[in-house]
Amino acid sequence: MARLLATIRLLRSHVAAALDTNFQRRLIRLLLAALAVWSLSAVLLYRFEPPTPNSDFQNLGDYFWGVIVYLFSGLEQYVPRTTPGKVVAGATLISAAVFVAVFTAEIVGLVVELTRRRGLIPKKPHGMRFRDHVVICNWSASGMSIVGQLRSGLQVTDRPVVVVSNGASDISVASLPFAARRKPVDVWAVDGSPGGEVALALADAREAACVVVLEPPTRGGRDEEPLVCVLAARAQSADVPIGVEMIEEAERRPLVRAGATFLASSEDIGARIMAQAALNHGLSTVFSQILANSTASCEPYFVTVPEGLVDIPFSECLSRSVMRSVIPIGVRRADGTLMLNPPPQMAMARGDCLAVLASTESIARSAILSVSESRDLRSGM
Amino acid sequence: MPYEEVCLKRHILLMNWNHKGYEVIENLHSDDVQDPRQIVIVTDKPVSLDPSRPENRGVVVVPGDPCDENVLRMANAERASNAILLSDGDSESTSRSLMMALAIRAVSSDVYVVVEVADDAEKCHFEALGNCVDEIVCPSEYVSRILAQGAVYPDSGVVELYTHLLGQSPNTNEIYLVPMPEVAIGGSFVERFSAIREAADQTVIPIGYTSQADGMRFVAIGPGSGGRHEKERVLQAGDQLVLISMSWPQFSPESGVAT
Repeated sequence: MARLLATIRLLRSHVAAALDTNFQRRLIRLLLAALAVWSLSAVLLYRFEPPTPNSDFQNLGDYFWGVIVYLFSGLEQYVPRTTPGKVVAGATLISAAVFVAVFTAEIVGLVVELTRRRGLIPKKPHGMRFRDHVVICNWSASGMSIVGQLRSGLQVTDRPVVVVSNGASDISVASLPFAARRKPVDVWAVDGSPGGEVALALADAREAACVVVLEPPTRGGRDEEPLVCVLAARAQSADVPIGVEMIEEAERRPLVRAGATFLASSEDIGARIMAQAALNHGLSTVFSQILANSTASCEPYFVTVPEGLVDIPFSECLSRSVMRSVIPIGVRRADGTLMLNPPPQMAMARGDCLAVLASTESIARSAILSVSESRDLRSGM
Repeated sequence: MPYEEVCLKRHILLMNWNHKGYEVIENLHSDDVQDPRQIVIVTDKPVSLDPSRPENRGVVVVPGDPCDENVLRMANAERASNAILLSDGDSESTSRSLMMALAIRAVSSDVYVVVEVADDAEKCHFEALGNCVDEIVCPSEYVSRILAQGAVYPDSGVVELYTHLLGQSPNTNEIYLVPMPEVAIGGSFVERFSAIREAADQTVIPIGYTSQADGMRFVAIGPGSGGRHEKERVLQAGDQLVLISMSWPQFSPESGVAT
């Protein structure tokens, strides 16, 4: 039921996105004009064509109905007899023709736009607000991969994604990885420079769970762009985590100073993996497997140490977890220190988080909870 | 050191040169590398290495076109153990890397070739080369996956975790792929998990294994990966164990482990 409601909400949002603000404004203006013409014509007819016996006009309602008849079928009924009445009826017929033409043009425009945008990710409407979503600044092949990972469905929380880029609304859904296309695409576009505050404000970057800044596909003369994006995103919020893709390690320090929270550089990662692959043949495939968000393999998830595991040695938790299809590989201490492969007797404390290899986040959580609830956990120590 | 005077054998060729080269050398000559090899850089670009840095000791530069077989022979490529082909990342880098791969394979059929590609879409060209290339590494693919996980769990430290795992340094744990210890053979991964840990000379966490099925090598990470068949699969000699360890692990002789 919840899934159905979420899908309905998503579809409603897509329709809202298609009916953009300008179109809605024009449509409302048009309907108000039609209402004004209708009322004015009816009142003027009432004034110049008074009710008479044996005529179509008997009361005020007949005048309003008469104008509707003029609008949709011409002067077949409710034919005025006085000259001013004929002038009013004629003017109403002309305005009806104009109204129908303009209205048709608006609808055709909407249909053309909907057809053109078929297969493209929807534009984020101005009135639609997001919270705890992921904002991606700039668009490249990395962006596609990130969307695929975020929409893989392995995480407990499926966050919407908003792409901020020049030409973001021209991104084709077909270009997104398969995982993102299996269900209604909760990916939205904001056209504009990701280095500008207007576009980031429209993307609700202030309320985002994370902002990811990618390298632009071409860097000719735009080397500073990720830095500008980080500064603009930080101007939106002092708290929002900002992840940045770097090409060169030299960019790390300025980006950190600008407010980047976590960084990944292809220079650094690439060099590490190539060296590892040369030393230990086949390791790049292992890394690919761990980094891929897929049910066919395990990737790391962080799970808060449950009360039942406080003061329990890491090795005890490890040996029991393996039986439940997950492998704890480290502990992140409450002060943020990460200890991978910690000493076996290291006791876990309140506020620690376990780094766990599992196929999905929910499996990781339930397995660790199950370990913490083992009856003989403390008696076995 | 003039390269003519160096007796090069089982060395690592670094073909082409860019900024990543420094980091590659640092990782290859890290203190916890069990068997550090001599590195030979083959490039027609200028290379400036700081000789005072310990990781740069014994690094030789052979100037010349890395696509030229004669230049590769000058670098004793036929006796090299590994070749790492660096990419410039521009539009011509793919064809240049393809030429380098063909050249190194023409000189030696045994050298293990690791090639860097700038774009995931270009992998297919290298796969089409067949056995000319052994491993294809696309850094941007890894970076985007790390960023995606960082985006889902921004404050979790998942990016730091990967940085630890991917690097080669004496102060961090890394992932190692080792021959399957005998203590593990004959049982499933879950059954042998504790025995493997006890047989190791240091604290290790086995996280999976690689094996061969239908002529294809596959990787199974975690006890829950794959289907029921994979979970209950009996580990065999010839499989490889994937584990996390501070350095290359040794296993106790009584467990009869290959090291």
